[in-house]
Amino acid sequence: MPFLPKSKMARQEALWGYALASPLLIGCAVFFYLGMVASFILGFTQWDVLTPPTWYGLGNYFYLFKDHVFRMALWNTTRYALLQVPLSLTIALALALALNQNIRFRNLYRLIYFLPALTMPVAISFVWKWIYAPGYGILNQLLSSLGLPNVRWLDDPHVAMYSIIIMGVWMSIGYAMIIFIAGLQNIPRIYYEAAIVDGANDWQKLSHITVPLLTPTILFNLITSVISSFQMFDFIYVMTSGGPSNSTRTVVYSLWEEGFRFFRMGRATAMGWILFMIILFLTIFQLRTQKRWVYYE
Amino acid sequence: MKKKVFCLLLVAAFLLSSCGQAATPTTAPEAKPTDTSTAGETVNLSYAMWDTAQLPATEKLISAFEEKYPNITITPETVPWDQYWNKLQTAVAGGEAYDVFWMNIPYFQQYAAKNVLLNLQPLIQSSNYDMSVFYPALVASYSYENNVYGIPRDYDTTALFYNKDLFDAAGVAYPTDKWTWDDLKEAAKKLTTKDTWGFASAFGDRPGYWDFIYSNGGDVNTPDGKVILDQPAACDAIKYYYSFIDDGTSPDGPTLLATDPAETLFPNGKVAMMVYGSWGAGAFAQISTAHIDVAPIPVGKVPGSSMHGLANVIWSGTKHPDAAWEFLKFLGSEDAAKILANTGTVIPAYKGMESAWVSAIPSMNLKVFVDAASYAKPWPAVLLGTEWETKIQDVFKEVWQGNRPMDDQACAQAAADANAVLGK
Repeated sequence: MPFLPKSKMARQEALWGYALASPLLIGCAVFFYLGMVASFILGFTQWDVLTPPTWYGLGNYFYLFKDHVFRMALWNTTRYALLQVPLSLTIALALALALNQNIRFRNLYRLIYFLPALTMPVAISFVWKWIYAPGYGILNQLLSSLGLPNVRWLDDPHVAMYSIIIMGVWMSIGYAMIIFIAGLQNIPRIYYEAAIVDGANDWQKLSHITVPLLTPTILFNLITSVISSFQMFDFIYVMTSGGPSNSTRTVVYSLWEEGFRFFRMGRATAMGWILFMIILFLTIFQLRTQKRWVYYE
Repeated sequence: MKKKVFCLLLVAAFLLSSCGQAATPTTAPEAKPTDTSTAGETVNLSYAMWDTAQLPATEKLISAFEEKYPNITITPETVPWDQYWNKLQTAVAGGEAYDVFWMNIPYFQQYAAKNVLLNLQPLIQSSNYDMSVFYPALVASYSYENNVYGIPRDYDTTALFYNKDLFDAAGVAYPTDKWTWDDLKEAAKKLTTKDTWGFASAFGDRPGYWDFIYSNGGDVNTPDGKVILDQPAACDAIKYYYSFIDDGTSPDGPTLLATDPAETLFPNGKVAMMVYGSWGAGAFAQISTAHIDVAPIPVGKVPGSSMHGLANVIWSGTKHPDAAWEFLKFLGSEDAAKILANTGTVIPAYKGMESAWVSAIPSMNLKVFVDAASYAKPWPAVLLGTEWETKIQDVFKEVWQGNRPMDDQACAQAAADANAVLGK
C-alpha cells in the first residue's frame, strides 16, 4: 500500500494524491461502506422505519431459513440465473462472432442489439406486458393466426418464469455482446494466420483459438451476468408481483415487499445480506476455479 | 510515519462520515411538541398530497387560508402515489416529515399507533371544533383509541356505471335503485353480444367484490379485526361477482387482469356495466363516444356500497403545531368544502356540501353516490395496513388468473392467510 514516501518531493506528490482522492474516498465511506455496516446491523433488528429499531438477534435469519416463501424466492432466483446466464452468453457470443465480421450495416446491427441494454427495465416491462397480454397481445395473436392455442404467458405458473427469462435474455445479450466483440478484437491475428497455414477449418479456428483466448472475457461476462441475474426485480415488480402462485417471486422482490410494503426493514435487510453472501460465494467460486479453464496470454 | 498518516486519514474519513449521521434513526417524536413560533413571526408549513389533479383546488384552498392568516405560508408538495408512502416513511425516519399531509384509511392505524400523527382530540376539545359536520363513519375511521387524529377531507363511494347506448341497442331498461342481483344477471345476459359483454367483473376488492359482500349483508371483517371472508355471506357474494366470468357475460379473468376495464373496455363501449367509484365519474363523463350514467349497486339482501375518504393530518414532530392546527381547521371548514366541491373532483366530507359536486355533471345521476354514503361501509380499519389485503388479493388473483376455482376453499384460504398476518 502506498503510504508516504521518504523523499520530500515524492511525499508532496503523494499528499496531493490523497487530497484529491479524498472526496471520493469519503463519499464511498459515507454512502457505501457506512451504509453496508448499518444495513448489516439492521439485519439483526426489527425496524418499521417509523419508530427506532429494536434488537432481534438472529431472529430474522431464523425466520427466513424456515420460511417456505423465501426458499421459493431463492429457488426461483436460482432457476432464473441458471437459464438466463448460459442462454444470454451463448447468444451474445454467437452475435459477437457474427458482428465482428466485416458486413454491411454492422454498426447498425450492433446498435440494435445493444439498445435493450440501454432501455429502462420498467419501460421494457410495459411493452412486454402488452406483448404477453392474453387475447390481444402480439404473441397470442400470432399463435391464433397460425391456428395454435394461446399461451397464458404471465398467468400460467408453469410458464410465467420462462416468459421473464425470455425478457431477461433479450435485455442482456447486448451488453455481453459488446464485451465479447472487444474481447474478439484483442485476439492477435497471427494465431489465425498460423492456423490457416496449418490447414484449420472454421470450426477448429473457433474451438482452438477463439474460445480459449476469449475465456477471460467469458469469465468477466459470466461473473457480471450471474451477479445481475440474481438481482432480478424490475420485471417482476411491474408485470407479475411475484405471481402466479409465487412462481416468479425473486429474492429482491421479496426484499422490496417486506421492507417497503410491509414496513419490515429488519427482515428485508437480512434478505439482502443472504443474497449478498450467495452472490459473493458464487463470485469467489468462479474466480478460484478460473485457473482450470481460463487462458491468459 | 507511513502508518500514522494512513491512520490519520482513516480517522478523518470516519469522523466526517459520522458527522453526517446518515443511518442513525431518530427517537420517536414526543406526543405534544411545543410551538416554537411566536406571534407575528412568519411560519412556513409543508403540505403533502399525492393527486396532481387536485393541485389547482389545493392552491385555491391555500390562497384562501393565507388571506385569513397572513403570517402563515403553506408550501404544497405533490408526491406521486407510488412514492408517497415511501417518501413519508423516510421523512419520518429522518426526523423531517411534512407538517400537514394527506392520509388514507389503510395506512392510518399504523401511523397513529406509532405516534407519527398529532393527537387532535385535545385541540378539538379546547377550540370546541364541531366534528358532527362530518360523516360519523369517516370520523371513526380516523380515530385511534377514541382520539381523533385526522380531519376528514373528502369521501368516495361506489356504484354501478352503465353505458346507455348499449342498453338502447339491446332494448334493455336502464338500471334502477330497485334492481336486485337477479336483475343484474338478466340484463348482463341480454347485453352480451358477439362484440360486447354485459358486465365486467374487474379484479379488485374495492371497487369490486367487497361492494357485493356489503350488498349481500355480509362483512369483510369483525369489529375487532378478524377477516371473515370464509363466511357464506361474504363468500357467496364473491362467487356471484365471479359468476359473470363463468357464464361469459364478462370478459375472462386474465383479460381483466391485464388491463383495467375502467380505462379500456368500458370507455370503448365493449362492456355495458361495471362497478366503479365516484372518482371516475369525471373521466367517464368526458367520453365522447358513449353516454354513461350511474345507478346504485343492485341489492343482494340490502343496499350496499363501500366508502373511503381521505383526511388531513398533522405530523407529531411538527415545529408549529398551532399554525398547523389553524390550517387543519380551515381545511375542514365549510368554506374549504365549497372550494373543493366546485372543482368537481371529490365529494367533500362536510355534510351538505355535496350539491355542488352533484350538479357538476348534469348528464349523470351523481346523487347516487351521495345517497350511498348513508349506507356505505367504510374501509376496514385494521392495524397492519396493507399486508392482510395483499394476502387476500394474492389468493383471488389466482382465481382470476384461472389457476384455482372460485369456491369455498379460496375464501377460506384468503381468510386464513389474512388472519395469520393479523395475528388472529
